[in-house]
Amino acid sequence: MPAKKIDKQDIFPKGSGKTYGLLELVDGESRIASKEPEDTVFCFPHLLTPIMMCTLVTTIVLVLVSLFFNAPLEEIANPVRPPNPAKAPWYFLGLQEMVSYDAFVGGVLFPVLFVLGLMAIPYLDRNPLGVGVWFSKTRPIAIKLFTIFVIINLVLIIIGTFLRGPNWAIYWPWEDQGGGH
Amino acid sequence: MENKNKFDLRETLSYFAFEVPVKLYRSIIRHGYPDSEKNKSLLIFTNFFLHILPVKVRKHTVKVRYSYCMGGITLLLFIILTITGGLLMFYYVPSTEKAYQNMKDLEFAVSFGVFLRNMHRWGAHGMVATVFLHMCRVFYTGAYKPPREFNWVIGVILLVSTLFLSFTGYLLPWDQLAFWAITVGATIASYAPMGDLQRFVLLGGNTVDQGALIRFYVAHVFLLPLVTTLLIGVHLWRVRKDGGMSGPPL
Amino acid sequence: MENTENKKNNSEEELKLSRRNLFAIAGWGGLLTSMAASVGAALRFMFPNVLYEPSPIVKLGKTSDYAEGSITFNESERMFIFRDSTGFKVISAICTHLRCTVNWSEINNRFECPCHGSVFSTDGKVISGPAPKPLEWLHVKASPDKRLVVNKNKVVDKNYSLIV
Repeated sequence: MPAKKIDKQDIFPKGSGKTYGLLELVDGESRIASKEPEDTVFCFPHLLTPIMMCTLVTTIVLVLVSLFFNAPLEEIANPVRPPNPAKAPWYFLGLQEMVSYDAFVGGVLFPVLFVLGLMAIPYLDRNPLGVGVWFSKTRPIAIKLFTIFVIINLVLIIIGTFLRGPNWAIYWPWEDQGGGH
Repeated sequence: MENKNKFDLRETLSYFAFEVPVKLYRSIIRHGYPDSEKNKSLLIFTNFFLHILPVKVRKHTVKVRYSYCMGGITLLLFIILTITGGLLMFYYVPSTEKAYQNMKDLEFAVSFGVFLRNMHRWGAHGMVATVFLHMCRVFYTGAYKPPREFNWVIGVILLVSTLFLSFTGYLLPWDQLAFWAITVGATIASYAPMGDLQRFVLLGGNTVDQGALIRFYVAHVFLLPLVTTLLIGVHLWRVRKDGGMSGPPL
Repeated sequence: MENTENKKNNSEEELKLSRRNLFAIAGWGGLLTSMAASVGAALRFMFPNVLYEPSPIVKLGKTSDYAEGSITFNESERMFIFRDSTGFKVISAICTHLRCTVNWSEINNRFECPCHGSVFSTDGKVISGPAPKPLEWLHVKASPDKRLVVNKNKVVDKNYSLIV
């Protein structure tokens, strides 16, 4: 059927003293309008309330933590002697653990591959299913791969935090690390 | 005619006492009490700070157990870090001779100094954690899929810039951790393709000294926050443009 | 006749287009060049020309201060001074992995790095750990007033020794 060309003017004629006008015609059906009963709620108060609750809880937790625990401050910088062991904050201990095997592979190659790999995920994953659902069963491989990535990170951080002692040697938690603290 | 020009004290007083406050309020808040749909809408889109939100959202968006607010908490922590960081700048001098003393002053000689520093440090730790958890949430709910692919990429850049902000931040106290973290971090850079050139430009020289401290300071308080703020803006804008928070297809 | 006219018009058209292209190329080229130059200048700006750093050539104690067969750690200069029966050898204490300061372990008779666990033998060779290169042996000479002078930027062979 040859489609009859519809002009905007046919639907909403201009200049009849209206304050509105048709901007554009698009293909397809209105997604929201076709849903009955309505699937949407007003941001006020339905979204603003949880946002305010989140803000309150986070702020209170942070204030309490800051009242009872002091931020770490080590001795003044001594350019000739590193502390033993010299440990970065927990979120860099995975990197430090990797670096302790090889500076280039652990410090440059793997971090760059991690970042590029993460960025590439949406372009590598061609499965359109499972949006908006936690742990959708329609994408088992993607979920497994990412979980492995998360676990590797956590394991490296745990090794660096709890199992490394002086001279970056492995110490089990029950072993005496020989240090003062 | 005569009446109109005559100064009426009672009328003037009542104007300032009752009408001006109302006029002032109306000139700032341009919507009525939000019990009608019109006012609920106006409340959102006539407010600069709320207009990043749509007037209406899909129902699943308001369920805390979908997103666990991780992105929102990250943004909140970033704002808290900006405020506490800005305050800490009043007492911090990026000098190898003074920096450590400033830390001690914050702890012992400045009212609420230690509290602000704690907020800043623990907030930073929290932000690294929430940004990572936010990434996990987005992955496990498949929220990076079209049309949100590029927003995921921006998210990864934001993760990296958060890590750089943390790294440059804990160098500033010029304690043992700071010094050896700069030493190690800058040497890692020398393993990258251009070798010692990268280490040189990071440190502003060959040794870890004043030049290195000021570089990390400028990166921490200006360059990285600027980039991060911009990218957060783009990130949130794209969330709106891509149809709000991801959810199951209609 | 008409044909030639057409041809003339065409070539004029081409000429016009190519002139327009030329300006477009010149415009874009100029813009991109100036942007590249700005970025280049900004990058160059980040490389300081004058450094206020301590000299790599340092003067240490008198040669007579070191007992024969001793290993002395000079903390401020981060180097170990070996005094054997024939002379002096100086090895850098900077780990070749990520520049931490290595410690001399009396018990194990070796150098150990506290940061990432590299271990070096007495002659600087890597025994274990992530260090990619042996510790550096540094050039050492005696000054006229019989003091050791070490050049931290001058790496020498491990057999190099200052004979006194």
